[in-house]
Amino acid sequence: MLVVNVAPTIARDRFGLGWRPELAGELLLARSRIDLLEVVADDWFDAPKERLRALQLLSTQFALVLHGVGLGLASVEPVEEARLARFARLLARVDAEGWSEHLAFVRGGGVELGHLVAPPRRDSIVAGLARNFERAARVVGSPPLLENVATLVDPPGSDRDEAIFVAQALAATGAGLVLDLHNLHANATNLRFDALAWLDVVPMESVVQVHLAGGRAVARGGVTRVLDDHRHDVPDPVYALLESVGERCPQALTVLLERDGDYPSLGSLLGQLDLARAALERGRARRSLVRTKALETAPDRMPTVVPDRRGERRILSAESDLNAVLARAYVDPAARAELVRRGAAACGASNCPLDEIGLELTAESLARKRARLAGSGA
Amino acid sequence: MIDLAAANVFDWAGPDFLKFYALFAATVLVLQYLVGRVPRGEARAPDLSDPYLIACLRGGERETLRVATVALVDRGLLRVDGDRIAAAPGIDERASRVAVERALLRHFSTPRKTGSLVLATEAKAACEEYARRLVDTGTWTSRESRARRELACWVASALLVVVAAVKLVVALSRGRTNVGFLFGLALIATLLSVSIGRHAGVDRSRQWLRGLRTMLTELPARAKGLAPSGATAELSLLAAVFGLEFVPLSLFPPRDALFGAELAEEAKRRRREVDRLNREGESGWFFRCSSGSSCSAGSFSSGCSGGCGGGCGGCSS
Repeated sequence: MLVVNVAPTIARDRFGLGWRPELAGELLLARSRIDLLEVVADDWFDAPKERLRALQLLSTQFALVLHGVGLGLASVEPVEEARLARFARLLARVDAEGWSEHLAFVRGGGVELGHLVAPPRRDSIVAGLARNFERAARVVGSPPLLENVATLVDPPGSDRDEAIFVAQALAATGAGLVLDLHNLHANATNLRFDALAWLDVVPMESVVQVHLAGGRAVARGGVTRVLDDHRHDVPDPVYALLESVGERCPQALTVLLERDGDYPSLGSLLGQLDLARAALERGRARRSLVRTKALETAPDRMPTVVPDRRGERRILSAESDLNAVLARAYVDPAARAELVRRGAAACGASNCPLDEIGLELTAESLARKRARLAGSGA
Repeated sequence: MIDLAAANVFDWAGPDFLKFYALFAATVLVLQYLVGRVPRGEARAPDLSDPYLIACLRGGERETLRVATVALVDRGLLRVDGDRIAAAPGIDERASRVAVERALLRHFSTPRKTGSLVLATEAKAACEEYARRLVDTGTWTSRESRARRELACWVASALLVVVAAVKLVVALSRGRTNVGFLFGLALIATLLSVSIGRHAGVDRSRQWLRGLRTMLTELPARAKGLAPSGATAELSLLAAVFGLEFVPLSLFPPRDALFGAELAEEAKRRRREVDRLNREGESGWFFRCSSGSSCSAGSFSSGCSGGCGGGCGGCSS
């Protein structure tokens, strides 16, 4: 039976961290200072019974939320039933509050990318996402929250802005949003848009969780972009965005700090959670002052006119090949060159060429992820 | 009129007595199960963020006191001189708010050997809180439940053996030697009684410990890089979950001076236990009923840290 309510109603803001084996001891010892933990579900699908029992024990110590990274819901291709069944089995075994996935694809045409990739933002993807979301909710038994993803490149084939795409995705699925503020910050930097305007378009009442992380700057071709690598401290602009979220969201939020490497002491991570707590409180305080004005001047969140970069549509041979073409381009330099050539020809090199450097950086990032996965035996 | 000779079951013919004994054994075993049964309520995991509770879970009060001693030395509240420990100058029990630490600071207000912990009744009393929490969460069986189950096991086993033995004596005295069936039946019934005695309770200790060790599987490998001087409580956690032998000397140099002899003795005991289990694996485990268990929950002399359990009760349930 489909469970419509996607997240437990919480009475107050909660602050938690990602469960990482490297931090396990300190996390356990700091239990009283951590409201909940996020567990990457994909790490546990093939876990032996002993590890699953340990995860069950962990769920007796902390509130847990499961976070998926491998379903690839935002795709014209259907998510395999087997992947969903594994998620369902894990959720049945572990006492978790709920689960979440990304507004991303991770494979296409049989090509595994090894990590999340921002999908082309267009109608066919929204429709594919809605189909996959419905199947996921049915097979797993509860619907996931959906998270906005970071990207180094404006996804080829996109015909609308990210904020509109996210708002449409939420409307099409009825999902709650995991608002990753570092992803938003990275995309605002990389794609040059105003993050606050993004927050004005996406329905803030859908926000259930907020994710925080840090990344690093990568410079290429005279342009600096933000890579969301989760290996650095949360930067100030992300706290500022959290403050703005606090201003816009009346509901209690779950704030999770994600760190995936170069681990500092837990004290440092808890310090960043304290900063997040303070930022959210500042936003909440500001909300009470500006609420009336904001209501009066709130923009129409769902524009009826969708920007259409018509040229880019012709890059793709067919909507059904959408993810396959992009997946091949991200793993195969020749396919990438062909995509750039056709994209440039279709759009006209002077006004809307594909972002070749962004594609290259994304392909490099994915190659690193695949190498890391292969190295870890995953 | 009642035929007394017929009423005396020991005078019954072999096949009739065997039927009677089978019924008798079944009744005794069911009663033993019902009397000694510990309610299998849903045990909930205790607060596993407290290293002292985990130490108690793993090895009773003795382990709690040892881990607390390590923590206090690591934090500089206790000082080690050779094999003796004393509170650091200017430090007294007010330096801690944890009962067991306060008791240890009092105990070591004058220099003593760690072996003196056996006599530290006040410190042991401070550990009872941990044992109580483990019982409250259903992790450990209460002393009363355990004693009841052990008694039920003893009484049931004794009844089964005595009734069979009397019949055997009667039969042999009458020149009948075909007692193999009775002997076999008595043996099976007694083994079942011991088995019920061992498994009728609940013990989550090993379950929680296995889970913790899996959860913290990277901690021993990271041990040498842990922050010393009480920067975090990870040293205590390491000692509590995996044992003092996993605490590297580079992180806690006085480990062997303080606990070397005890650790060596424990290692020997574990080896003996493994050998015993291996032998039993070959020859069965007949008559290991030992109600004089040294493994009472929270007992200072427990030795439950790895492989205690056997006979009626043991510490495992």
